[in-house]
Amino acid sequence: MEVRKMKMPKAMDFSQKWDNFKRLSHKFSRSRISLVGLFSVVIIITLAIFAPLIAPYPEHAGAFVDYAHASIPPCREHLFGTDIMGRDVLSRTIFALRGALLMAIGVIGIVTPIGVIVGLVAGYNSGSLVDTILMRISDVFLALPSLVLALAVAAVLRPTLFNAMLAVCVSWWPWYARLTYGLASSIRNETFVQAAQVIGASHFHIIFKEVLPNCLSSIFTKMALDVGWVILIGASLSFVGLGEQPPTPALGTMVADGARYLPELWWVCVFPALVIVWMILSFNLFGDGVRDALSPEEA
Amino acid sequence: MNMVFFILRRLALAILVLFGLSILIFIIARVIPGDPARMALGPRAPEYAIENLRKQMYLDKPIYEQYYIWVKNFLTKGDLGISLLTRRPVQEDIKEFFPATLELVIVSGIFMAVTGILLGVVSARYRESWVDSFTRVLAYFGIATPSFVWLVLFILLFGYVWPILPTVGRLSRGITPPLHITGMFTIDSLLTGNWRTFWDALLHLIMPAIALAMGGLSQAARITRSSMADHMDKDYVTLLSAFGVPNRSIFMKYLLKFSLIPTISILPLDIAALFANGFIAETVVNYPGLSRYGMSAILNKDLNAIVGVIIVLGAIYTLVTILIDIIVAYLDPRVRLIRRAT
Amino acid sequence: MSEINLLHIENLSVSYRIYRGLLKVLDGVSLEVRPGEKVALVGETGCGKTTTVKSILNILPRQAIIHRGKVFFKGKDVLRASDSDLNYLRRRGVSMIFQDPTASLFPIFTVGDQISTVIRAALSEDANNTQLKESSLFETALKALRAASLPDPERILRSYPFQLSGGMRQRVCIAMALATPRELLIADEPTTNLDVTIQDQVLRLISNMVAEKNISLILITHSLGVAREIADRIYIMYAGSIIEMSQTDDLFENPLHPYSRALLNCVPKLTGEGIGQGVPGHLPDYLNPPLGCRFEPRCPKSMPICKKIKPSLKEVAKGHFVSCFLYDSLGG
Repeated sequence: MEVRKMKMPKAMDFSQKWDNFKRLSHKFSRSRISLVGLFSVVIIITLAIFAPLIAPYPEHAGAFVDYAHASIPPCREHLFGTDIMGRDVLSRTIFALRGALLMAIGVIGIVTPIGVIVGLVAGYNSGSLVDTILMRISDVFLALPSLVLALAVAAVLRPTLFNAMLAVCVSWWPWYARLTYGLASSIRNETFVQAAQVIGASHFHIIFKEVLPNCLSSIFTKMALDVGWVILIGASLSFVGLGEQPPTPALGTMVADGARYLPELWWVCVFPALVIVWMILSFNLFGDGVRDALSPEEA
Repeated sequence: MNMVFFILRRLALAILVLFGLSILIFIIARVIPGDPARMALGPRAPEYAIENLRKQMYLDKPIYEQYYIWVKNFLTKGDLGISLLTRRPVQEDIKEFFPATLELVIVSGIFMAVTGILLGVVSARYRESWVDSFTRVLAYFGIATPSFVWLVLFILLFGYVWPILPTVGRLSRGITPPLHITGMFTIDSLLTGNWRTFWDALLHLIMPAIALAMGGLSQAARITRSSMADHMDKDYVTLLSAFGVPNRSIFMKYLLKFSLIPTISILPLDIAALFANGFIAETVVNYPGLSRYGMSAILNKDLNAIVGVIIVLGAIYTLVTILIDIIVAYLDPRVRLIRRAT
Repeated sequence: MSEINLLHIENLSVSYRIYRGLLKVLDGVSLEVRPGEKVALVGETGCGKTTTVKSILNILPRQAIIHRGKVFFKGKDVLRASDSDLNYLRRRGVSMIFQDPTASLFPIFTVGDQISTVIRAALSEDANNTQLKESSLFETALKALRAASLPDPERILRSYPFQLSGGMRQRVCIAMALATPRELLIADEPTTNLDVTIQDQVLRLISNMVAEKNISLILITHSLGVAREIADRIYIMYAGSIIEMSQTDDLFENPLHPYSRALLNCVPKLTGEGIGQGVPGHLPDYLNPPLGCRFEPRCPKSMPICKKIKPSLKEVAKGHFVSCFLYDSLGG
């Protein structure tokens, strides 16, 4: 097994990659509920990208006021009703998907390389001083529930979507460091890594060409499973006003604003809340499917 | 003996981590843009008052000196500094607000553990029954729904549409709080035999407690179910039933203990994280607990309060992690004995 | 077929439900064991040996569906037995040693805990033993471990399974199975998961203990060599059916079924790894098994009739049964 891995060509040619992809997508599509998740994720992404074309009143996503049409309950013109400023809740909800998605992409895009590199370096040098220092630092960040740390950091910075993203990153990277650390410190002892060391390969080569490729499927799985969590934390931050600022719509903010007018204007709050649930649920189902497709054991 | 050594080592590490956390939070709290003294006193306060406050808070000194003073005061006097918002020592505030949150976390945690484990066990025991399907769906939604969404939906449903539960605070207006014994209203009212207060306090707890519990509950149900279903198909279970050991005793004595290990290594952390999720939930229902205090400290940049609350939460969280390690080592000899060998 | 049979399986058919359909694993298996007899059930991995013996104790996994057939132990139908009959069967009648000693014991409970649970269950059927003392349980467990030639049994009782070697674990399982009186022992490939060096010791231990207590044995193995050493009579199984049965000597002198011949041909090459390489082809797909003889696709002597009709087990010489149209006067 290890020997075969060593002989593996550096890059797979296209047909191999295509075969690999077909095999994974077959495993993924065996579960109907993962397909539902995938379908739903595609809808969410489409809605977010084409929000200006899809939303019935795209101008309502900004600083728009129309008191003549304020607080209309759900009807044919306004499926989700309108808020106290007369803005179409559906349109604002569709636009708010953008912030939530950007949040997820941003956080996972920033956190993964940082966490993975820290984990690789610490894991490859496991037992050394570098390992101890890096992992103790990550322990410090893990000594708090991630929501609290994210809240604290977000509160310190000016409330913007980007800063909320940074705040979540601060509390999130250690999970990737932990995961990669565990993988790397065990892969380090595999024969093919030792063989590479004997040949005289550089540390850089070993870490990125031998160890990292063997961590990738676990890392991808974690990324897929994490999207839902990040959206959840992002929604929580924007719920307390520490995300995207008005008049740009954010799902959490919409729920918080709407909650003030319960029960009369229930639609202002309930629809964005349900969209949050729908969004997280879809990404979780999708993530479960990715996990099953990437997990090595055959069922 | 080795176990004692293991616990001591973990405690030493925990203290190190908490030191690190205090430095981290201290730095985060001090990079706040703007002058905290000015913010506390308002724009119209005279310059000398602000200067005084800054001196009082050592804001005129470099940050490492500030940290040194903070640590010294904390370790020698248990002094966490003055809250800019309440103008009282932070430790006093924490002492006042902590019992309310603890009460909420306990009720929520009990609900989470009992319901989660029960649903998991029943759906593993009766696989593919309606309970199993129900638990599956509930778990999907439970994990996907932030606690504030649960809370808002509960308020709408049980506060307004079918008004059976109070939506705000710890006690209804007109009900006097019980004598302060533990600070937890339900327990204090029970101790003093005040049933009306007990009932009212409990009603106020139900909605936030359940909303907070939903996520952890779903996770616990899911983990318990899959771990138990996994074990049920294993040879060691088949072997015992092949020897005519009654199913009930296999289930109660062997399967339950073994299957709950993964749940037990997650559940306490989920419960400790309730303090954090409470930051938002307590704010929504205006429940006067430590989490709401922490939330308002964060939103109002109340430096000492932020650091104080976060250190307390960090200490709780870290202790719970150690507790889990001890419980799991106690339950699973592989953890205990193999660690000893290395 | 006689009334002195201890165990009698009659035309048993079992399927497993999986998400793609039904795996028709057992297709009319018949088997019997007389008191004191040692029987071997031989076949390649996946041919339904374990399913057959699990049905004796009624411990088939929950995906299993029993379509047809009966399993009689001392004249009582196991598959339709009352709880008390089933308990008698499991506590006093039959015991079983599983294939993988590592998977057979709960990892987080001590050996002593599990062995005494088994002994307690076994003795609870005994009217004289209604009041079980922990000390007598302990004594019985120690005796059983000693009988399985385990050194330092007191220490082993206190140990957790992961603290023992594979061979010791299997000895513990043997001790469990024979701690209390039994009438039939089933050993399901008891040495497959052990080091080659101790396979022989464990087999000899089982064989000796069975002989000493004069109880019956069903030994499952994929090695004809092992079967020859231990068994009085051999059943050869292929893809869910018994294809040949005879006294051990008979079989080795005069194997009849093409599959048995192929198996015997690879005996010298046997390494304990399996016999697949000796017989070209694979076990059939249990989802859509062949209509006729299940060995037909691999059979060197296949005839047109083999594709259409499944041959039944017939006595072609005294005590020598085979299911193959080659020996059927009616067959073409």
